[in-house]
Amino acid sequence: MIGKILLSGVLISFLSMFVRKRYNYFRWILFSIYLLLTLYFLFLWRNSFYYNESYNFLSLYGLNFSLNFKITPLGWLFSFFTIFLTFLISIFSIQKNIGEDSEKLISFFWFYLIVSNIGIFFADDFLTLFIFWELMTFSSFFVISPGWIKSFRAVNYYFVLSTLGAFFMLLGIGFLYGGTKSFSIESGYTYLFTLFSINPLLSVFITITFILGFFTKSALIPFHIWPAQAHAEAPDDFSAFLSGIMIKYGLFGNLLFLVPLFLLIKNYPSTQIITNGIPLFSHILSWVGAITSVIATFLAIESNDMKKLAAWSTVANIGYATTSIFILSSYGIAGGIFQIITHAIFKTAIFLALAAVKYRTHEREMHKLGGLAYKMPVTFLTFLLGIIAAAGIPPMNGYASKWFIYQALLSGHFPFLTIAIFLSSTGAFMYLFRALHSIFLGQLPEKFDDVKEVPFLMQIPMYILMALMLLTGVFPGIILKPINSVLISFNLQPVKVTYNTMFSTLSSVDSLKVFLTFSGSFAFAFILYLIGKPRKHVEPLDNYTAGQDPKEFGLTRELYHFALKFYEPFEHMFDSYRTNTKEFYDSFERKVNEFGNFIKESYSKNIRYSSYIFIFALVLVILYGWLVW
Amino acid sequence: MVKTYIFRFLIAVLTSIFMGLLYMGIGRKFMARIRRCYAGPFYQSYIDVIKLFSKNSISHNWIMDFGVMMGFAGIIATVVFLPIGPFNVFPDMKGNIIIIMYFMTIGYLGMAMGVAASGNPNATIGIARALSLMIGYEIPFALSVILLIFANRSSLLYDMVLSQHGSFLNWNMFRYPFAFAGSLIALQGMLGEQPFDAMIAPAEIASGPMVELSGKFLGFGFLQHASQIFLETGIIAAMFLGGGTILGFFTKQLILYLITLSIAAVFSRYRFEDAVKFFWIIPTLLVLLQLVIFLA
Amino acid sequence: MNYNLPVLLIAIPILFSFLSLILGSFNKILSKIILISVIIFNIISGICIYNSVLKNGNILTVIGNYLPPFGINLISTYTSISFLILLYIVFLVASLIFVSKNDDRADKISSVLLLYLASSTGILLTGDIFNLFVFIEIFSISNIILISIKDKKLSIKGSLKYLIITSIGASLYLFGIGFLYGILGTLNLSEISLNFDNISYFSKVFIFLFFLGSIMAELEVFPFNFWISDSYAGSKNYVNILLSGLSSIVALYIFIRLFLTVFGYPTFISFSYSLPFNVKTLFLTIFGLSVIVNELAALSSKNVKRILGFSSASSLSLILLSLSTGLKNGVMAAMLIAISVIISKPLLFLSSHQIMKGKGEKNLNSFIDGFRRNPLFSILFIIGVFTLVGFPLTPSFWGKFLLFISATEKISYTTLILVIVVFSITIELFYYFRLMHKLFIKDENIKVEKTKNNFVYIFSGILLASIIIFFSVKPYFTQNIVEKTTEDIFDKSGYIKSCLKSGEIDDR
Repeated sequence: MIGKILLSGVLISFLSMFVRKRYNYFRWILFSIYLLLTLYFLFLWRNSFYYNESYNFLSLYGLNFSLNFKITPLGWLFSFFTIFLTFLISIFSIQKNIGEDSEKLISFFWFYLIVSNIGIFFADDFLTLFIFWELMTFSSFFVISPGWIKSFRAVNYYFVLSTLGAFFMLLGIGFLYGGTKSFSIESGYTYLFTLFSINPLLSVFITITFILGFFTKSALIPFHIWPAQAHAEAPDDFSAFLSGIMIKYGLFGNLLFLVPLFLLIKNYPSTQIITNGIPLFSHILSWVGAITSVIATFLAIESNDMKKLAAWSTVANIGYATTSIFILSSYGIAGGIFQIITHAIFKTAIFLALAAVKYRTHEREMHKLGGLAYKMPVTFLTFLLGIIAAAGIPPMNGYASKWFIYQALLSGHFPFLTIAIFLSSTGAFMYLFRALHSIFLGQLPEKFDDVKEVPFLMQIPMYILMALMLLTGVFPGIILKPINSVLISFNLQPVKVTYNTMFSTLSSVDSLKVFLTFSGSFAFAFILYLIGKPRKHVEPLDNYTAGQDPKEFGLTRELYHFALKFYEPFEHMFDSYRTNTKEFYDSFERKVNEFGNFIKESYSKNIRYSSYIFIFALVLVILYGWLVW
Repeated sequence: MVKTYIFRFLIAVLTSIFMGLLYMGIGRKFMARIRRCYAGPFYQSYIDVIKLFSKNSISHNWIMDFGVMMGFAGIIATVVFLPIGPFNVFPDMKGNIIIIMYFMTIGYLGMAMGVAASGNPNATIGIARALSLMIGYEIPFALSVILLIFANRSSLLYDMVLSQHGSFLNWNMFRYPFAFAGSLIALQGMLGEQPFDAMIAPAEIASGPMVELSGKFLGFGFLQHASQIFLETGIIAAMFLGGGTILGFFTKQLILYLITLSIAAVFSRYRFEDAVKFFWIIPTLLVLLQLVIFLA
Repeated sequence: MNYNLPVLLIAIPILFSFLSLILGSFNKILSKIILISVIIFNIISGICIYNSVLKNGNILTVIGNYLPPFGINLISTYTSISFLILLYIVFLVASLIFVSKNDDRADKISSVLLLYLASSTGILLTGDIFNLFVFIEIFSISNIILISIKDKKLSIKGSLKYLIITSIGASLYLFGIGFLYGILGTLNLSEISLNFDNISYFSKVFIFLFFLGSIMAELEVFPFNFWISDSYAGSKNYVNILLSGLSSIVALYIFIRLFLTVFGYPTFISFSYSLPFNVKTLFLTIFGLSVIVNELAALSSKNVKRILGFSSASSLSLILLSLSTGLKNGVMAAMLIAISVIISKPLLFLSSHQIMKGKGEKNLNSFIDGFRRNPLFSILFIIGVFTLVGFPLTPSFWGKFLLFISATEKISYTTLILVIVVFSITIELFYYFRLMHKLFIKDENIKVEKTKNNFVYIFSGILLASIIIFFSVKPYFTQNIVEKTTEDIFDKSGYIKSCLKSGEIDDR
């Protein structure tokens, strides 16, 4: 059945190419229908874990090449929420593509992304994983940049990094195959575990190849540059997919391969260094996650482009999840997966709200916007709930996942990791508020006086996402119960939760009570508000000029919108660091270019030069023979 | 069941407002004494609030109303989770410190949203400064919270209070003096008192966030500040001064507030980026030192 | 069994290359007809030989009844004959394109092309080391002439570079032959390979290095490949096809014969060398360096032909790299990559030429809006790129996979080289995707006119693409060919046996 779903995706994508250009939106309708059908089947499979499916179509070169799929709890969870969120995005896209001369390629390649999405999450062996991984990389290239010069520059980094990572992963797969003569993931990490005591150097090398493969995809340091560019330049609705879903593949890979490996090392510590109860390797990786989140937070505080800001925020959130996953306790892994899911939900909401803003205003620079909340209340509320979730404020879902991460970090005695996460979480509040203020609050520029709320079709996914954020925040058990079955598949103790209460060794939280407390407080405040003398509505500019006409003073609303360089003095604190890193990256790029040019130049020099080189090289080769002898 | 909860909820909220306003009144008198001038009676704050709620007020849009209410609601909802002496609203969540720290932010967010919606740049500048300052003082504060969680193996404030029972030498203030010092400096920042009051800066940005608030909106701001004083001094009192009986708790809170005010009275204002740097260096190092001593 | 058809494969092109000069002076069309009919004859007889090789094993063709080790002899093994058929297909494409163009010098060029055909066939079939030298010389000379056909400064420069470098190589080769003949007293490849172990260490190293140095320029290996930049950019389209597709086969075959059959000792799964220094390390260093340097050069080039040229040099180095791992999997990987490179590189040259048709500058930006101008060849270009970079299910995907597997069996120097290879594959992907992306960029200001494609181009493009697709969708067929080739390469004693009936086999 999995195979049929994948095949039908390919077929429908070809079918959609025949849609006339005038009815472009029909492609998106096909896309939504396909997603809905997939979702239906996924829902049917919710209890049929460890169902196998294998397509044995090739047996080449002494190797058995087959596509093997297995529904694991982890894969099911990931595929279900990714397909569901993509379905919501696709509804948004239908409206976005009505009447617009949109790109044919986007929906066409998006089909392949969904196909590879299912393939990656249900892959039972490395070969299947790698094939769909490559398909995903190649097709995302054309969706991010469907023939736009500017977005190509952005996709540069992304593409080079992902392919580099993918090929390193292939190298690692080759090593594991050499050792085990099979592509099975499970025998792969078991073999690698035994290899750690036999040949530590090789095993570390293999682990690093996998880390490169997964970390480039999930944009952890030092590969954290690409999201800010790719997410910002991609089509607006696709940014939501990129940020909400695609960046999670790397984390899925970590959960699929590295976490079981480290768990083995943790449980049977033979030769490995164990620090704080976890292997040194995974301790380092969780530090990588923490540092990524801190740096991405500071970069987000600086950015004035709203999509870039959201992209940096994504990187920071991936950092939390990575940190938490590599703590390797039940709470850590549960918190990490929970963070991945909640982040997918609220970041989709945030990006869709931004896409809605851009759909109406065609602006991305935040200081050119402002006051849109008065015109687009639904978009504003979506964004508001999104940032409340992103900042980890109760009772939204981001809070529940962050609470789990803190429990894991604190009960595992990681004070400095905790403080790093705390720092970036406080910073998150800073940049999210900046976005909220600059886009939706403050003064509405005159040119946007006629802006209306987005069409109803675009509002539907926003309503659903709002409800989802609140629901999963108040009843975290909805997500945590499936996560528990994932934990059981890792042979870990499931975390203790009911639908509305989360327990840990340190404390317990009843999210429903938290929510009700806040509602009660708000009711209390509202009663006070009603008790007070009724307020009077006044236009903002009226009270700045003591009742005179503001135009006589040359006052415009834009002048009164404080948005550009919002945190400038704060940014000045990091001036020296920033120039240093920029110089480092610039000089690296320059050096590579110089080297390439040097080689190219030497090729086009005159004949004498090239024959000298020829003879010189020949002498070198001959000398090598003699010297070694 | 539900009725008891509502009853306890109202007790906690009203206490916080009542006591917070009282502390404010006493604080005013205290400041006046330091500066050798006159102040209104200690109940002046109550009069102020009633006066503000009965005055005319203007608003620019619905978000402003909504934001100001949300700010106040956020702070009083946090107070509900604070163990006031031996009194707890929820028997199963006796002051979960992580909830308190995150719930406080919703108050800040609401207030920030309300005043940003007023559209006055001075207000927004004030908010920007307040948020930058927040990233400063949260670090030493969070570090000392982590220290106490490690020490007590629980993230409940009430467990921390219980562990300090007995002689006053059991107080965490004496057990972890460096952490206490760091938290005290952080408290100064949390309350926005000098030298960390760049966000209000009356002469420079016209009282910052409050610039556009009038009538009952200012009244909400007043109430929020009162609850905030109660909440933040309460957290420090529970963490380091051993909680105690209800009266003892109130006294400890008042003492903490007066210490803050006396520091504020002698210092001049920091530029806020310098303030952030200061928070990241001196108090953070103090708490880190304590943490290293504890872990070692 | 004495089987004389292989002789005709060489003799007929040589004969008609002179005839085409004479007949072409009457009418240029005649020489074109001769060219096409000769290549068709060669293809047909090549397939006949292929069949009989399949049936009877290696075929020895003795000329003048002088039994080997004396006299001239041709050996058709499975490897050489299957390489030969691939070569003829590429040659057919190139000559079709040549024929479709109007050129005043058609008779002369077709004569050179026929010489080229004869010499490359000779290189693949001959069993004699001196004959090999002669054919290599003819091959180089015809290459030089073909490169310089385009009357431009660049093409003259390129062909001169090629001339000088290959003639240095040729003289080294001659030295090597002299040494060998002086010591062993024979020129027959089988005899040499039988007795090579008996030579003293000193001479072995000397001979080995002489042959290695001479072949490097032909193999487009850095730093011996300074001719490729100007030669590719300065020559005509069909010459590009010949250079990238055909020269690679020929150079590869020379490498396989000399360094695997003659100097190497195949065991069950790997090759070894009885030389005093580590040959594998030397090979891996040179070829690994060459891969990355050529990719970097391609990355920083702007001219499309240059990019493709550097890219084909680097793919050739990649093939050599996987050959020199010496493992069975590595050799299979080399064969697989070779198949995809040999077919996809001509396709890339062909389709890029058509996409850029009518644009003055042949640089990256002339690809802009290519898809609307020329959808057919854009698709063919994309097929070519996917084949080259190793999209799953294409031969080069399996090849790269096998290379990874073979090199990772145990950690060694090879593994480190592989890290470089991973980087270079990424670079390759990047610049090809950059080109592909340009195809889809829409320039709204300019009205697009559809390019008219010549029928010959369409035919040859679709022919090449369908061969690739055939190899991809029939993986068992591909596997069969590749495994047989590999077995044949490893079967040193079989090669010697088929040539020297009475010779004793040194089974090591």
